[in-house]
Amino acid sequence: MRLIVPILLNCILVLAVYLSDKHIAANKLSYMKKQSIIGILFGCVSAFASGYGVNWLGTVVNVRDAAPLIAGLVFGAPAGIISGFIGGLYRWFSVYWGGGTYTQLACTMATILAGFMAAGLRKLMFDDKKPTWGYGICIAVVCEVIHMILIFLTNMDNSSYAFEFVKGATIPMILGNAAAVGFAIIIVSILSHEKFTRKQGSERIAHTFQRWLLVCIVIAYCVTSTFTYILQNGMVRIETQEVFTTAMNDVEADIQEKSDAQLLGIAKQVRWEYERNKNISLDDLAQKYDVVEINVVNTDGWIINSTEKDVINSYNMNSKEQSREFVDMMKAQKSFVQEYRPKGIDETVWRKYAAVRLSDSGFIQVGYDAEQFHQMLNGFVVDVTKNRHVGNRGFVAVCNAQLRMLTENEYAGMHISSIGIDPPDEMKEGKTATALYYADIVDGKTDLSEKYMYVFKFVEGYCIITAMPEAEAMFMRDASIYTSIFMQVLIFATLFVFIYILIKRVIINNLKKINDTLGQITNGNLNVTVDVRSNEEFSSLSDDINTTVSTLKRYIAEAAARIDKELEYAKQIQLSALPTNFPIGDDYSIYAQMIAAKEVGGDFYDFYKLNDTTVAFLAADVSGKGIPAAMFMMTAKTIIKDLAERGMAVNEIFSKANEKLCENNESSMFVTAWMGIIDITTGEMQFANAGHNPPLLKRADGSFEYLKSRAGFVLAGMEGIRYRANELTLCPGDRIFLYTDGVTEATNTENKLYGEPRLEDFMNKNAAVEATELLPALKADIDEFVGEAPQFDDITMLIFDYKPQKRGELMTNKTFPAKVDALPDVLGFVEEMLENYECPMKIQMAVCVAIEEVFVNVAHYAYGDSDGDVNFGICFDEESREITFRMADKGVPFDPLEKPDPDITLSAEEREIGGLGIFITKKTMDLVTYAYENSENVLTMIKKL
Amino acid sequence: MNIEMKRNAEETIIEITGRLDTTTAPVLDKTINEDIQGTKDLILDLKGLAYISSAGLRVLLGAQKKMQKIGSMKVVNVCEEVMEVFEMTGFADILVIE
Repeated sequence: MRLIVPILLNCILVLAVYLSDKHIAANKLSYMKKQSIIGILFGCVSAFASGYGVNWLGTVVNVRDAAPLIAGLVFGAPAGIISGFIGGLYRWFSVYWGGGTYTQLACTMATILAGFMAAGLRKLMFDDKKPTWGYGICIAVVCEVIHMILIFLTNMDNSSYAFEFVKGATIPMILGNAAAVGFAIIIVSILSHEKFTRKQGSERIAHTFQRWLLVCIVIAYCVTSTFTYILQNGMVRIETQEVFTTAMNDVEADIQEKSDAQLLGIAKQVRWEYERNKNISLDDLAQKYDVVEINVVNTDGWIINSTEKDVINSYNMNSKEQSREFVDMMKAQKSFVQEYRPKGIDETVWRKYAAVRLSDSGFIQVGYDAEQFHQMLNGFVVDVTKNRHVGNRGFVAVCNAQLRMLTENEYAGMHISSIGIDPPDEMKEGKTATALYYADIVDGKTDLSEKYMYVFKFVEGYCIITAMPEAEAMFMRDASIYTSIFMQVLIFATLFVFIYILIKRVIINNLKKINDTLGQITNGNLNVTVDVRSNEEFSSLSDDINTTVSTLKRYIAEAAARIDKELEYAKQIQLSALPTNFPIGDDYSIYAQMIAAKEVGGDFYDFYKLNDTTVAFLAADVSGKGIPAAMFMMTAKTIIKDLAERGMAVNEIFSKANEKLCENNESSMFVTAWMGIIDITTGEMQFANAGHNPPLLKRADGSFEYLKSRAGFVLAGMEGIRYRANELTLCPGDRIFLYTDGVTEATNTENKLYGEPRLEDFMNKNAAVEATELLPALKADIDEFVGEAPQFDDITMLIFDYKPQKRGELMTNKTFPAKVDALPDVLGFVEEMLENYECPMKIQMAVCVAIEEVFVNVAHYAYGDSDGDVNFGICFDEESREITFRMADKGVPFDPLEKPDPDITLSAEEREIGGLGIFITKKTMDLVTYAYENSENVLTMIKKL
Repeated sequence: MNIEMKRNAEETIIEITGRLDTTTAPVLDKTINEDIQGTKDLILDLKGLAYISSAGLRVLLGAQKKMQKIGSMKVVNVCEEVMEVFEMTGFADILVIE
């Protein structure tokens, strides 16, 4: 009961340490500091438990070993070792204040060992984690067994005392320590919300193996222990019986010899008397020598004279077995003494006979009964038995036939039951014992009774009893059972640990290594290889995995290459869907660029003339990437254009487009878009925003500013959205810049965004730059900002310049047949116009060459063999001093600018004839653009004066 | 355009005046291909030529290629405007201009 206090103390400390580790800022302490503190705390508990126990044979039974075990198993190896040392050293020095010296060394060693054991097992068997409570209890049991073995080993010179101690202390110490460790681990398990039931599903090999190994070991242990017990039990009975038999035989031999000699002496005296006077009265002789019977027997066995008158000449000694022995023996010997036994002629009478040969023939036989020879023998018998010891504390006692004791002490003459032996039936009947008997024999001095084992034997009318305390008989058995059971615990526990560690090293650790690598491979790192070479099986497994992975790698690379190629096609298709015939000149100009990211994205821009006076332009961004986004972009672009060409208002276009895009949009994609529809004659613009970035607007006399308007929800996001149209009137010289988030969200290697402020800044610095140069410059600025980082998103930019022609500067138009013959007329018209603009002669000639080239080109190719017209328009802007030429034909769509320039560095021999015309035009004019508009090839050329 | 040809043994001088454009170029082409048989050295005098288009250049290139094989060709008296076209198109490096 006293042991409960230190057990509880252990549990409380575990609770305290665990909670403080979890909740208080103990985490700031380093691992070793924390371990030291825990070690010292548990060391103190160990020391306390050392003194707080139950006294047993001069030593205290206690649970000192529990604290180091708990510290080591639950909290960590260093803590276990430290507390083991503290507890052990306390025990060593405790002899100075009353601790037992008997187990001093053993206890000290055991406690220190407990710390190391906990530390070692935690590291080797439990992966530096807390074991389950079952293992905790097993470890505590093994630890205490070692403790007991140490007590044996350190007290070899006094093994019976050591054994007594161990016998009493083993059970409470094992139970106490096991309970302390078990409870402590259970408390921690509860606190950390572990489940006590077995986890569902598969479990780790290590655990399965641990459990089955444990089961096997326990079964093996039980079998061997039972076997040892049975064997030792049988052995001890045999040994005890041997001890008894030896003692008994000695006593028997002594008594027999004495008795025989006694009777033989009498018989010889009787013969001497008889032979001196053959007519002497046998009755007198019998009386004289105090014998019951004297017979004279002839060589044939006939009793020829006797004290028993009725047998004379009527009884032949050969007729009964008992008497025949005499006849037989006397043929060879001169004398013979028979043991005390029933006589042949009347078996109810017990007699002892001795015979001596008569000098002439026959022999004389003397017989007497027990009362007669016992009187002479009693003293001798007491002497023979009183100093005889059986084992350490056993004795030999003698009773007479009435089972009354023959001793010198106070029991003399008392019935055998007075010392506690309740005579069994056999003893009462005077038969010799056949088995071991038990009795609680009373010690005459102390009056205490103790369980004895005894056997008895009747010799010469005496009952000889050999007895030994059962405890003494069983001592050797118990000692060997205890030691062998302890050793088995130790051996099996060691075996368990070693097999487990071996399996773990050979199989489980390797499996874990392979699993870890496979985990990395599964997570996408195909460059790792499995390299477990500790045995042939794992080597081959490693090789197989590596081969599989490299094959996989190859397939993946091939697939990736194929996908890349397909994406490239998709990108080209997507790009080709965007218009590139940028309108320039007239009343407005549009220039746009879309730079796709590596993956196909969903950005797009679009612009189209809705009628002679209205133009629509937009930029949009489809959520997501890849082919789905590209396909969705195509759909969105087509739907919006279709709706716009029906003449709808911009908000209606968005509302309708939203409905259409929402239909069957199972992949939940959406589009952000900004669209403006402008009347170029008045500059009035309506625009709508569906979740798109606000565009930048620059007024002719101002700087770029974000055109913030209330944005509607994204397109295709949700059905039933109504969009609102905003209005804005543009003035000549105003500029709108549309872009997608690929611009503002371009990210550099430091994860910084390009951002709206930077964009606004850049646009303002380059406000006056032509759109065709501004967009590449912006892209270059973005690239510079982004640096090494890859482009994540498509970048789309569109500039709309509003520059309506001033009145009176509208083009002068003239139409000519598309024939080379009309060339002089064309040139005449051009020259006339140029004269009007007061163009220098030199420029006039150069311009004429340029016009001739493009006209001849159209004349030759535009209409094939059929006839057609070419319309020329010329105007001059005095402010910018630019002459704009517009040449339009309705022939087959053909962009003359696409043709590469000829290589003008080649020699005459290598030069091709042709290809020079358009080149001359490009060189002469300041700007040449081509567009296919309203079924017309429109070539616009600008020449600055 | 007006063409005047002066033959002097194996040397022929062609004076071109006016405009050498798409409509007139075939005339010069015909002259050079048909009327100067036996000539080894051709001199084109462009003193009076103020206008040349790619069609004219084509004729000049054809003449240069032809004459290179049998003798030589020289272009003289090139005015500023025509020279600019020659330079623009790389003909300044092909033709022998004096």
